[in-house]
Amino acid sequence: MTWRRFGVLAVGGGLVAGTAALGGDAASAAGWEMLERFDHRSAARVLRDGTSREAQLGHALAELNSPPHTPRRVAEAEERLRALAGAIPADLVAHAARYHLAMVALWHREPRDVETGLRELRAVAATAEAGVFAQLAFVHAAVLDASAPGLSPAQRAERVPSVEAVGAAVPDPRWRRAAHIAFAELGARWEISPAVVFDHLWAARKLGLAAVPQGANTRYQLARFAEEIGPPERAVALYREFLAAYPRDVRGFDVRRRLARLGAAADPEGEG
Amino acid sequence: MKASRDADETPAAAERWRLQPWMGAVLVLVLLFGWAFQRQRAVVRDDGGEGRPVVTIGHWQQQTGTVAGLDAVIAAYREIRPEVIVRQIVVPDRIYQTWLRTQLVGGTAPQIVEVHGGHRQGETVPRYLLALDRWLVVPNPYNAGTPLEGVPWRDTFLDGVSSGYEAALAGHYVWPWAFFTLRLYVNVDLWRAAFGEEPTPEDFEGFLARCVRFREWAHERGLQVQPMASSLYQTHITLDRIGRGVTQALLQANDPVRTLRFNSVTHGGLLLRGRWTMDDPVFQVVERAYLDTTAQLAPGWPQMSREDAMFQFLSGRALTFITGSWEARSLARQASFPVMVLPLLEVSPESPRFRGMQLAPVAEVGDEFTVGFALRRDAPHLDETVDFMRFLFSVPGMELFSPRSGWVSPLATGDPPAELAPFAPVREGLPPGFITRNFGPNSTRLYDAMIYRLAEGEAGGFTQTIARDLPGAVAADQRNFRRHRIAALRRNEVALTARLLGPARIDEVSEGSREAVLVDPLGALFGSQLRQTIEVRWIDEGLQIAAEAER
Repeated sequence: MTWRRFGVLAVGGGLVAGTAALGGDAASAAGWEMLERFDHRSAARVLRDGTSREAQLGHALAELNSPPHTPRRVAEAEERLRALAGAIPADLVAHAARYHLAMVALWHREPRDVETGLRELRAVAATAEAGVFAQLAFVHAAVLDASAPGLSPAQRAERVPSVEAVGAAVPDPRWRRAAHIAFAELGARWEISPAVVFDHLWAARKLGLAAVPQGANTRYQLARFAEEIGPPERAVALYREFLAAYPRDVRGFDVRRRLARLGAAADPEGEG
Repeated sequence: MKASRDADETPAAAERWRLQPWMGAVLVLVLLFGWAFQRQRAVVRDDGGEGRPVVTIGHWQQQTGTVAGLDAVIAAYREIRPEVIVRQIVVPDRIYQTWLRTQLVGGTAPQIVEVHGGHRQGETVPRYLLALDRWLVVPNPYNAGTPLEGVPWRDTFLDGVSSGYEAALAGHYVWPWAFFTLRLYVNVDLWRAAFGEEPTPEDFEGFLARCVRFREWAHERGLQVQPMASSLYQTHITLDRIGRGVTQALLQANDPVRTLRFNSVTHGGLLLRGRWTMDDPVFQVVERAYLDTTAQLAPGWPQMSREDAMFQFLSGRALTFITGSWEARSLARQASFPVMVLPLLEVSPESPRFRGMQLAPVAEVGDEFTVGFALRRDAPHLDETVDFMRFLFSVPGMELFSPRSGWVSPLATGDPPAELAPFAPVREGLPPGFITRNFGPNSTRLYDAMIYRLAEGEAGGFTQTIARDLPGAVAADQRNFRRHRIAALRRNEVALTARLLGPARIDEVSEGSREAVLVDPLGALFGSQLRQTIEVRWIDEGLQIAAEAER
């Protein structure tokens, strides 16, 4: 073989490989888009031949969620995720895989294995390099821990992280806001303490509530808990905030009655 | 060769090959089927054969006014976008659910389909429908020059599209088309004849007393007329309204999350924890109110259909008819007597037997009888489809649709016109409480099976039987909810990762951007995951407590 022929072959081979890789990337991108819109079966088909670690992760998740949901399918997906999670040094895909190992234990295994799920989540949360997955894992683990069945109110209260602890572990405001609202929901549902619920709702409010779906519920809860813990002036301000943000909400009549009981008008200018 | 084969054929074989009349019929049927199939594909997928995009809307509203209203909007839109063809397909409501399912699975559904709550259960929404959030957060250009100019489209709707929100998916999937309200329709001629006066709104007790007087009046004259047009459906909607009013205080006493809204997971869980029981005196009061109401119905009401009730009223054999505002135009058109629309019989908070239970008039939430439009996930001509919906749900669009259909506009454009004012939702009141039918399919089945006991007219039978079986039915419902939540958790975790690692990777919210202020899809999805995790744990604990109590 002459150098010239070798060169031609090398360039041709490179072009073919490049095209295949580009095609692979495109397929991988299409596969992730399918996963985003819950089309797991098609995603599994598209991602099957992907060679990148992202594609392998996507394929494992697609297979895991494709019907029928059988123990064998779960075990196979778990094996693939474990292989991806074991990469050294760990990259983002490895952290994501480990995060999903927790999800497999929590939501896919029969019976559900909360202990293993919690252990995996705590491991991801403790790894700063896991970035976004560390934040998600911290919140998820705390929610699972504090919502465990059968706890006394005192035990549960101890397990709900403080506003400061959430702030330190979850720097991204998107996840932090969702976390505060979840801890408030948890505290309210199990009647831990109105002050704890209020603190988390107040922290969420500081991050902005306009983008929160069903934000009317959050604002209404905030004002109700403010009324319970006082001072009344803050509750009045928050009730008025609710009326301004959601003037047509079905709870408007209730809020106006509460304002009247607090000796305040719905409209501050009406105070005269 | 052919001739010899012909010659070899027996007479029977020749008979078999002779053209039979039925073959022609089959051929015509096959051709018709092929034509219909092609036409359907053309309507849904292609460009109308004229190089123009076609937008198709499928719905089950057969009322003339509704169809005419949509036609008027379509005609006006044609003036603005002549290149777009918009068509509506009206499918009878009896087959709509099956039709919708088949069309969605087959990929031949119209781009826009009408849906109600029942259609949104299971996998339909995540699998076949597209989230609308990206369009809802920006202003609707067709509202330019109106009071809603510059307002994000979501906030131009009366309910902020909350009725179209899918909590499990953290997205809005349905444009609310109409908020229906229940009203009391009165045969004015019959009322005048019986009472010598014009109909006026009355509370529950006053209405029942009037029903008794009406019966006496009819009996004296040997007339076969009833105070209320009766059917199982009419009984359900009437009793639901009464029961949910009388349980307002019960809801307020059992509202740990302080939302003042009933939630089947939360309140079912509270029942399993023994926080409220059927021993609460309110349930005896509710049963008494039910018995008093059903005593005024025509005998045999459990076997009667909605159509029977409608016929009773239209043929002048019933003084009143309780139904939704969706029937208003049909009733007015078909009745040979004047029809007056009155507020639904409302329990007075001052009434001695309901004092402390019903706290205020029932605010009409509007989401119980809401229908809306959803967007097919893989809809062709997406831009044109959404643009038409922008026009339909704009101030000019609704000014065309609302008067023709007789439906109150879903937009926040102030008070409805005078002729629609009786149908506007009541806002000066408290949210409704709950009845034992509201906890899921199993508790609904239990209630529905027991409602016949009310026809026996004896106190105790209805409530006692429900009290005995309700915890088991609610536990079964809670297990169902848990299964659905876990399915959503599995699905959403993957979607969340896809958004974090996939090609459309969203690394950071650009703080201060319009989108960051108005929509936070990742945060919403994560929030939904956390809420569902909490609900699963809440259900786990409730079921454990119920199982221990059983032991």
